[in-house]
Amino acid sequence: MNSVGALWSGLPVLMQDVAMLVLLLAPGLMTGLLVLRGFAPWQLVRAMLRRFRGANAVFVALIAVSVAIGVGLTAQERGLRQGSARAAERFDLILAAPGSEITAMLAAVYLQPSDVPLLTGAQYTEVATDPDVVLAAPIAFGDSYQGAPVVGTIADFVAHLAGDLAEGRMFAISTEAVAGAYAPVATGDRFTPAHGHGAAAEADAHAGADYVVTGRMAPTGSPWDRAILVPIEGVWEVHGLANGHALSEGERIGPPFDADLFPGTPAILVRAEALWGNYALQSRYARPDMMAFFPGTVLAQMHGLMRDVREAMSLLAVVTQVLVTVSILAGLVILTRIFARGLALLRAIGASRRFVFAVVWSYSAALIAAGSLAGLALGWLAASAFSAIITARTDILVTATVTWAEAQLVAGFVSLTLVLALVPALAATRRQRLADLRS
Amino acid sequence: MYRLAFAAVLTVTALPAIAEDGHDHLAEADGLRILHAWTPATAGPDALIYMEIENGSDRTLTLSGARTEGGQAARLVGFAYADGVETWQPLPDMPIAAGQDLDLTPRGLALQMSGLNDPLARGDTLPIEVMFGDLHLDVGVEVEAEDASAHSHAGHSH
Repeated sequence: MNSVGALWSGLPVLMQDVAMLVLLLAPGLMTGLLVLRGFAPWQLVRAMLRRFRGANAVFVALIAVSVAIGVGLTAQERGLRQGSARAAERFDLILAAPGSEITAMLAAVYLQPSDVPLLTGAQYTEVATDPDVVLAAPIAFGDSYQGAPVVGTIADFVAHLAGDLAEGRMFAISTEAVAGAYAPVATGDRFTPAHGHGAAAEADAHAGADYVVTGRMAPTGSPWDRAILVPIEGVWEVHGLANGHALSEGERIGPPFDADLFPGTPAILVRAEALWGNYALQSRYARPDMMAFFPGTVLAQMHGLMRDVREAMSLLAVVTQVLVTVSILAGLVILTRIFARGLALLRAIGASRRFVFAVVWSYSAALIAAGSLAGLALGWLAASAFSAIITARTDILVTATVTWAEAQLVAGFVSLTLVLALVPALAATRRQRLADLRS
Repeated sequence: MYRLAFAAVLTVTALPAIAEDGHDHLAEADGLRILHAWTPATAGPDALIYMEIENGSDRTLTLSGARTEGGQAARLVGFAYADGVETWQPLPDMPIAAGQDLDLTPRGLALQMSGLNDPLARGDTLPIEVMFGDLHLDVGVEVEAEDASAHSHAGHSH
C-alpha cells in the first residue's frame, strides 16, 4: 500500500491528473465496451435521437444544467481564491499598530476603507534602518477621488507593486501623483482629493490642495489598479501635518524621514533581501506595540475557515447531480416505453435481447455525453460571467478556468450515469414483446 | 522551628515536580532556549514541527535543521500561499542574532520532517536534536491533536 502511495506521489502532477481522469472514466468505459461488444447500433441510435429530438433536448439540457452547477461552483470558488491570493502576492510582510490583522490586511492590501491606529515615526525609523530590511514603504490611506482611493507612499513601493510605469514618470514632489492602471484620472490631470471614502467623503475638506498626475502604473490585477498613489508627504501636507522632513530639505520626498516630523502611518510594507529574511522580520516585529503579519497567511486562514462552506457547496452540487441523475434515469425508463413498439419490432425481426439492450444503453449514453459536455461549457461560461462581475465590483482580477478538477468531476458523473444507464436498458428488454407490438 | 522544617520539606519535595513541568516544555543550553516544541498528530510519514526559540546567548546562532534519534532529518521551511495553494518552501540556514527570538508557527516557519517510520499520535513525545551549527539541543516534541493550531501550553512562561 505504501509503495502504491509512494509511486503515486512520485508521478508528475500532469500524470496524476490524467491518471485520475482515466480512473474515473474507466467504470463507464468498461461498461460501454462490455455492452457494445460485437455490436454497432449507431445508425439506430442516431435515428432515435433525431425522431425524439424535443424530448432528447430536454434531457440534455437537464444534464447540462446539473453539470454546469457543479463545474461553475468549483471553478468560481477557485478563481476567487486564486485572484485574492494573487492580489496579495506583492505584499510580503505588513506591519501595523496592534489590532485586527484581517482589518489591517483588508485596508492595506485590498484598500477597503478602515479606521486603523497609526505607527509612529520612531517605529518606522526602527524598521527602515533594520539591516535586514530592503524596503519599508509606508502606506497611508483615508482620502479618495471620484471613488478611487488616494494612497500616500514612496516611489520604491510603486516600482515594487507594478514594475516600470506604463506611461509618464514617477512623482518627484509632494503634489504629484501616479495613477493606477484603471484609475479615473489621466496623465496631466489635476485633482483635489476628498477626505474619506464613499458617500461620507468630504469633497471640500482639502480645497486648495491638489495633485498633478505624472504617470500611470501597469495593471496589477488588484484593487491598486483603481487607486491613485501620491507621495506620503502630500497626504500629510493636505491634512495640515508635518511632512516628515525639516524645512532645510526643501521639496525632497521619500525616505529617510525625520522621526520627530513623521506624523504616522497606518501600515508599513516590509521586504527583506534574503529568502528567510521576511520570516525573521515577522518574528522580530510581532510584539506588544506592533503587529507583523504575512497577508498570505491571513488570507490562507480566512480561506481555511471558508473551506467548510466550500465543501458544503460542493456537496450541494453533488446532491443536485445525483437528483438530476435519478430523474433522468426515471425519465429514460419512461422514454423507452415510447420506443417500445420499435424495439419489439426489432426483436420480432430477429434482433437479440442483448442488441436491444445495447441500443437503449447507447441512446442513454449519447444523451449523457452530450449533456455533460454542454454542462462543462455552460459551467465555464457561467463562471467567466460571474468572474467578470466580481472583478468589476472588487477590482480583484478573478479568472475562472476549467481545469482538471472540473474535468474529473464531470468524468466521475459520466462514469456513474453510464453504469446507472444499464437500468433503463434492462427495463426495455424486460417488456412484453407481443403487447408492445399491438400497442 | 518544626514549622520551618515542615515548610522546607514541602519545598524540597515540590521542586522536582516544578522542574519536571519545566522540562516538558523547555530545553536550554548556553543561553539558548527552546520552548513549547510541538507537532500535530500525523497519519503519514511527514510532520511539521513548531517551537519558540530564544537566543539569550551573546552570539548569533544559525538554525540549520533537526534530526531524530533514528536519523531522520528535518529541514527549515517557510509557508507560502501562491495562487491560492498552501505550500512550504525550503529555506536556507537561518541566523538568529543575539537577544533575538524566532517563532516557528503554523503557516509561518516550521521544521519539516519526512520519512517518519510510524505515525505520531496525540500525547506522544518525539525526541529530536535541533541543530544550531556546532550547538545541538535535545528537545522533546509534544504531539498535539491533528487540528491543533498551537501548543496546549502556549502562553505560559517558563
